[in-house]
Amino acid sequence: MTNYETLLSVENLSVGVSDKRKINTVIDNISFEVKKGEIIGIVGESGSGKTMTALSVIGLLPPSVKILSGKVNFHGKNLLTIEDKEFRRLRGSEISMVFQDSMTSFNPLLTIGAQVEEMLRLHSKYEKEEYKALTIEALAEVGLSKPQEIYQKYPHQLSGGMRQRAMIAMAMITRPKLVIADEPTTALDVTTQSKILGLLKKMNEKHGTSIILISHDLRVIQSICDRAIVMKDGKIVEAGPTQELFSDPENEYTKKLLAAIPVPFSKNSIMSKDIQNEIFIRNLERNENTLKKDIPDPAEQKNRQDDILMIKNLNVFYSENGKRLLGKRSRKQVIHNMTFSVKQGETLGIVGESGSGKSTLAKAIVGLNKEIEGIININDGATEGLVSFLSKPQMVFQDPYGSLNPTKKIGWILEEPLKLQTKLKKKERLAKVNEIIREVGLSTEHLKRYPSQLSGGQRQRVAIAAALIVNPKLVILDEPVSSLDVTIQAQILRLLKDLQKKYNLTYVFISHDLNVIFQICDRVCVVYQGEIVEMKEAKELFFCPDHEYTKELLKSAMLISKNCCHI
Amino acid sequence: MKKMVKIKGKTYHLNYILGLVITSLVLLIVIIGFFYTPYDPNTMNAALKNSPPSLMHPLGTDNFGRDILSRVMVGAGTTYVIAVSIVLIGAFFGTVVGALTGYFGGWLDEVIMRFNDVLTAIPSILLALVFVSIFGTGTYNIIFALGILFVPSYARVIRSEFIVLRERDFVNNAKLMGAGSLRIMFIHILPNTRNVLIPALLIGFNNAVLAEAGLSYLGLGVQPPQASLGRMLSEAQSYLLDSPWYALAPGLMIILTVLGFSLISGGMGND
Amino acid sequence: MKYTLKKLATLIVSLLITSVLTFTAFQIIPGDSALNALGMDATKEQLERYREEMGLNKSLPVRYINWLKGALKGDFGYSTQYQMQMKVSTLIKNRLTVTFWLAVMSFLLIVVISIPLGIFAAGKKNGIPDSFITLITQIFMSVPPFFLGMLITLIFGIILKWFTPGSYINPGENFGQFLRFMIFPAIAVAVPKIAMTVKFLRSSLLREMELDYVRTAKSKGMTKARILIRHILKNALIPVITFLAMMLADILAGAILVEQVFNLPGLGRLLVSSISNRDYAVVQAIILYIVSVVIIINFIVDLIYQWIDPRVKRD
Repeated sequence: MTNYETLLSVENLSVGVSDKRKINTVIDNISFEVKKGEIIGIVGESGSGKTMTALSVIGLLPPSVKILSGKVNFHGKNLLTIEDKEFRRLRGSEISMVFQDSMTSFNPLLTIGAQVEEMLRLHSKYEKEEYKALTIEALAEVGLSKPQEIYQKYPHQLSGGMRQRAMIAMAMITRPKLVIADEPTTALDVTTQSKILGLLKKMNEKHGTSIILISHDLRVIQSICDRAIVMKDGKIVEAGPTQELFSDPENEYTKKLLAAIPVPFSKNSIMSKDIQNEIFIRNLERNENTLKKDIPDPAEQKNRQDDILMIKNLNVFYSENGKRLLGKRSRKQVIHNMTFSVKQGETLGIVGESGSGKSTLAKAIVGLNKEIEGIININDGATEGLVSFLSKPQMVFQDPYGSLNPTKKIGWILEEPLKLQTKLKKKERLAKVNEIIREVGLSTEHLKRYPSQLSGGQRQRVAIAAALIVNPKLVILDEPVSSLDVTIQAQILRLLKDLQKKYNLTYVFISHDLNVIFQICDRVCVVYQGEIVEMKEAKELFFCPDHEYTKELLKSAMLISKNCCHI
Repeated sequence: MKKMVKIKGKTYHLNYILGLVITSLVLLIVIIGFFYTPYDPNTMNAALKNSPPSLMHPLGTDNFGRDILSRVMVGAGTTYVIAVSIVLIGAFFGTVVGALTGYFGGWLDEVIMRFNDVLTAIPSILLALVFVSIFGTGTYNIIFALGILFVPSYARVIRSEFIVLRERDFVNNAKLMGAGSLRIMFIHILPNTRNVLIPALLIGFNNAVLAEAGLSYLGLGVQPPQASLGRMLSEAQSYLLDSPWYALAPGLMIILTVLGFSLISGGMGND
Repeated sequence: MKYTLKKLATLIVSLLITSVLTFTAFQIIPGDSALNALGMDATKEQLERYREEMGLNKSLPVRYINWLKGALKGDFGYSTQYQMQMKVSTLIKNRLTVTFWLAVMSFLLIVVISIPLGIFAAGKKNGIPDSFITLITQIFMSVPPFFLGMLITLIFGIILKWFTPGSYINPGENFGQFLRFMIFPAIAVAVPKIAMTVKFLRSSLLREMELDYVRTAKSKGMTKARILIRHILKNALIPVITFLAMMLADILAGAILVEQVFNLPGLGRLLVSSISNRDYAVVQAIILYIVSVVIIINFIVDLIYQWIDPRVKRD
């Protein structure tokens, strides 16, 4: 791993966005090197300047962004001063790029084959048939089966994973010395993610291509990078070999990033043998319990009453909202025969990939989806007369930007549910609004603002406040932290936990992210294609998964961390 | 490379400001015209037939010796009143239809939209002509005819906004809070269409001005002796050779009106 | 194939709706159409015979079917506005040539001028300020075509004497002279539309230039010109095609007005005079004719889409 020859060196690079005679520095005096054949990771949250760094290496900065100072030496040439023509020749042949969103990064009107082949045509001279043969070979190399067919396909006809493979084929077909991959897996499902990362690693080993891998996700960086750079606010805060960097970080920010990676995966949380034993024993007990199940147990009867939510044989459908005058309306079943219950005060996690039906389930529970068969029984204490007003289950949505009405002020948004559901007077309502806004860690100052004037984390706090203001017992959280940066994620999760304790709330927590799930959930339900494949205590699920799909999910999530913590 | 102007801490497009200036000027002329004109716009004066612009008559006189400036002031007023009425009728019913069809969807939506497709494929002046040929000419008839013709375009705009917005989570949230359909449609969703609705109102006003001018030009709109911009152009047509200034005054008034409003609506979308 | 059939079904439905609307619209006209046609001093027997001949005493659906049958054969009955009884179809046939050439010439002017101009304006994004281009296009868009026609008559006809106002020449007499005269009304119809198209194409191009696939093309090391020709242009022209198709309705509307300015014997003038003379058979026929043309062209555009945009086939 040592003594590689240097391929690229960035020296004291500063980049700024000019905005009416004022210049905002987005990259602040950074230096790093990329050696031949190595994979180097750049990690940082949004706005850290990692993408700008990549774009300045390949010379694709948007026109509003200007290089302020520094050098980018590639093969002894300073890329910032060479002529356009020369740089164009390098682009594609020596340095190429893999982009995040493979759907928009391909031209929708040209076939995949034509676009991959174009790269070859631009930088080499072959006979016509050879171009096609080489392109098909390249498509085969990245693991696309039936490359002849793929060659003829248009981008929209392929899945995200296939498109990303084609993009890697395109970037590698000219055998460049350096490939820059900007968040290449962010738009993909976990299982596909790990395959694409594996492919990048394979191509790196096979052709000796250096790779700069850019990601906001530490685990992606950990999975295949030899060295890593941590960026924050346009500066490099720490750099070093991946293993050392993440096992023994020096910088506060790196530590914070690591700490935000939840329990089972970070180094300090590897479970001791004792805990594993304990789970094993509990597992045995449970097996015995299930054996005893034949006889109705009075204790179990009582348990039933503690269930705040009971779902039995639930089927949920989705109808296409398209043309109905001509042609039949198609009805798809999204949820198949689900049965589960949620106990008072617990947090039930529901995990699954996109398209597994998680969000449909959430909407069905709160009554937003009416096309259901089966039983949804909510026993939230509203009838007990203890609560001052109605408390139907409430929901917190993934995107706080979409869940708060952009034309209303925060104060209005929070008061609205009280207007609709209670008979409180204006004064009492305002008092309640003032109370809840502090409860979620904001101030009454924020009530006068519009949602667009708040940050993502603040907006999600408002969304939580709006859900809690009517005193629900059950709250459905649909990917509540997915759109937030890791450090903000941790804050919101902490807030949710605190509120749960204080108000004795029950959560149904939906997420695609196993890490988040393990951080907050007591029990976890794994959903695959609309069916529950496994349901267990969180820790149990993690250490003793039964179902193949759960194992695969865990493996993909862990592959990512195998380099640093060997679980 | 957009030229921006800063006023009281807010930045505006240069064109937006220009639009505001033009529109205020034109509006000023029209508003004054409601209360005061230099001459009576309908008084004829045989001695002054087709006289070119002079100090007495800054825009000249027409074939009956009427003062063109006074007639433009009053005529623009007529055109504006007609256009505003048309837009109000079209926008009101269009918004209601668009909101209902967009929010609820279903077969009614399907039928109305098919109908709408056919209507929008037809040149609106043609449809207006059909209306006028059925119900007759005159000011109220063209307000009625064009008002109804404007309904589909507003319905379309509002409907497509509602289709997008009804899926948004803040609508789901409002449903969870227990808000009724009408409340969701008009209190939660409608204000969110303002970025589209306000420019559509301005553009609609322009189209109404042009439609009135076209119909009156063809002699099917405002009837003499009442003045409107289109009516005046129609009269000026025959005297183009002898008194070209007669056509220029109402023509420029139309151009300035339309230009001002389109500059404003164009500048609003981007800040 | 499925897409084509679906579009074909929509086309037929739209045409049917149009015919129903056109027919019924004229049934609600107040007054007795027999009386309207024959005048106040017609005798009872005359009126009766007229109703019999015209099938006016049959029920509404039957009359619609008869009318539609005739329409499909090109027979719309007789016009009443001239002393001599004339078949509506003959009348329309004579007038169609003028409107057809006016629309075709305007359309060609729009395409030929606005596409290069739009590309040029998009390319000069950093040269000429945005607001200036917007201002120029906006000014031209604000001019009503009939007023522009008057300005052209004034400037090119009266002042510069490039043509003699009112000297329309029948295409049968001298086709070259006919086209030479028609260029001026065509310009009057086209100029505001050219401004609109330039503005639309330019913003479509600028929008495409911001997209990710253009960045990908740059990362391949392509020249700007090549990216524009091979990648951006086709993508940017797709919405422009719809735009131009929608414009067709506007062109026809503009033609109706501009015919009046230049005193051209086209469909537009026939329509206006028929309305003034309450000659409903002619009005009905012209409306049905123009609307059908617009709908059929929209159908053709939908088919073109399928051919150039691979994403359409999927839906």
